Amino acid sequence: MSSNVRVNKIADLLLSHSLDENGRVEEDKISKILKDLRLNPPPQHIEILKRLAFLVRRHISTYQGTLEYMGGDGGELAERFCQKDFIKSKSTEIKSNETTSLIAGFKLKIGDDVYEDSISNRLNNIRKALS
Amino acid sequence: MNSITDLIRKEIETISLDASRSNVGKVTMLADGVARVEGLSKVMYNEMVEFPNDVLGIALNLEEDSVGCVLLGDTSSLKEGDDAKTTGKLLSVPVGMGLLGRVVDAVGRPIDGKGSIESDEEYSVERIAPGIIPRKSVDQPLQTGIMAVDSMIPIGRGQRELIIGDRSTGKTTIAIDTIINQAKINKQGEQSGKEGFRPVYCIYVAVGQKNSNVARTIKVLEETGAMEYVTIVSAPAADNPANQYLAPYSGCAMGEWFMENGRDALIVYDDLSKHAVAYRQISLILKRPSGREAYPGDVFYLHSRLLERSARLNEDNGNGSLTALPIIETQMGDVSGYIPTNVISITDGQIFLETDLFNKGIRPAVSVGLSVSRVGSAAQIKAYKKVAGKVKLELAQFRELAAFSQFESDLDVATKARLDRGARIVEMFKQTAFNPIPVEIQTAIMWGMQNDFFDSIDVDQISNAVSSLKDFLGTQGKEVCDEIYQTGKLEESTEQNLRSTLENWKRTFA
Repeated sequence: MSSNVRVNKIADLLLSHSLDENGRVEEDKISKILKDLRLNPPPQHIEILKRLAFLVRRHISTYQGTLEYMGGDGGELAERFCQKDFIKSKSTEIKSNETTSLIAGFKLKIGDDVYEDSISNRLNNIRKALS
Repeated sequence: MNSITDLIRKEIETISLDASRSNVGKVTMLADGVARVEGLSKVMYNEMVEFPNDVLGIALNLEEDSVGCVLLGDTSSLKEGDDAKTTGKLLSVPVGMGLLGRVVDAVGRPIDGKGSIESDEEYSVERIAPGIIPRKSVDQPLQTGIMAVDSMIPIGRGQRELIIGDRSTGKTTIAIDTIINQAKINKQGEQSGKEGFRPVYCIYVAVGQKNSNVARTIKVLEETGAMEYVTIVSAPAADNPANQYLAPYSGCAMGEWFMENGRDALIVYDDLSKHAVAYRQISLILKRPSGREAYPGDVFYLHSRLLERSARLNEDNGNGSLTALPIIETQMGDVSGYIPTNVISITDGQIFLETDLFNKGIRPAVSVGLSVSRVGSAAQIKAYKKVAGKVKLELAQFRELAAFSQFESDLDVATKARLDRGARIVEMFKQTAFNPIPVEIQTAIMWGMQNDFFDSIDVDQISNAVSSLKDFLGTQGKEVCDEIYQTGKLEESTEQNLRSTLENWKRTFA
């Protein structure tokens, strides 16, 4: 087994041990894992921690979204989005921020996916089509 | 004023303003036209990825945690941490008649300063080659206008014929001659209104060439009036490797449009050695495992999937064709190199050009022994087949006897006759660059050689004699040449006319 594959496997295993029953990363479990690793550091300790950090960050982004909006009520908009079919996990948290650069409309980001309907995006599309 | 605002309004109406969904990532590494992006979990293989400042890239490496993208265009404005997002589109280029007479870059954008391309259709750059069922065997000639090639290594419509040789041996000249000849044939066919005439449109793909060379090629094509049938796809040496990698596929997509619309097209890839080098560079930066000569494992597939797209389609599929003339540059005449052997095995024959012959003044420097066309005489008109059938054998015998005759002082009559004939054939095949000869004139010259009209002329005068006969056939022998052109055959009556024409010429030449 190459060292990279080994590091990835261990990090995957540690991530699965750090999830709660809803599939979210639990802070207490992560703290315990980090403590155990500190006491009994395995070979390639730092690589494993870096990989774990990457996996945790990626996993958290799948159920924590950010909503940028301009105009209307951000909280209400976020609640409405949570009911939509394209958001797989019903326990997704959406944090909303008012963003003036959008001019009007919204931009929702969950994981790698971005849903956008804003005036700034429309103007950008027009600029590209006419250039 | 109103018409201008209407125009803008109409353009805006066509733009989709619906809510958009995209998949995004962050640039974590940038190097030599390649970006590594973290995220983009839903990107498709070969999908176009959008970077800031309207820079586009193509997703080539889909890995567990990141995506390797080759970048098209100016990458100097990009930096680590920039956003990249999917577009849901595969890279496409404009296709159609509007591209003729134009010079475009690897993604089909005009670079000749003649305004935008008039095209309402686009083809994906990467396409699957036609399967077995829609294909037909190659049986229609595609004349290069070069006697040594058309007589001994005939090329058919839909064939893939490799042009291979060292640097400065005349590889590009053969390709350009072929393009010029197609333009001449197209004009002649359109003027004569010959039944069933099908013009051949040409695409010249310049990969890794010097800009000055590309400019010279364009100038030659313009001066010879061939440019109106040609599209040039240019990815010069100064272009980034991604564009050099893409250019042949873009050119091929443009050629496929002609083929799929029942037309004939010719595509020249100049050259695939530099294409392989550009792909090697991209692959090494993308950290793909390297193999022989540091090329990646799929370098064979790189060229096989490109050249397999050239085909002759059957009547049910429009009867179109795409002929390919890939060019490969060898080092010190070594045809056993990695890329040369790959491409030799993919193509339907090769025209091998020798440095020694070139330096001896035998131009085009076609090596008779190493050159071959697997389609053979199926791609020759009947008249030409009749006169050129024996010439390759005669020339091969000449080369063999010439080597042995150096040690013999007394030669028998038959051997001497073969040596004399061979020396005259070699002289007859000498041809200046960018001066293709129409097939009917080639037939008449070859017929003259086979019927001993050149035997009484000194070997060092053969080139002058051929040139004189060519002029004579273009004026006083026009009737018999037209007959050969129209019928494509050499009937007894045609041969009689040809004999009397050549006798008349012989008197004037003497």
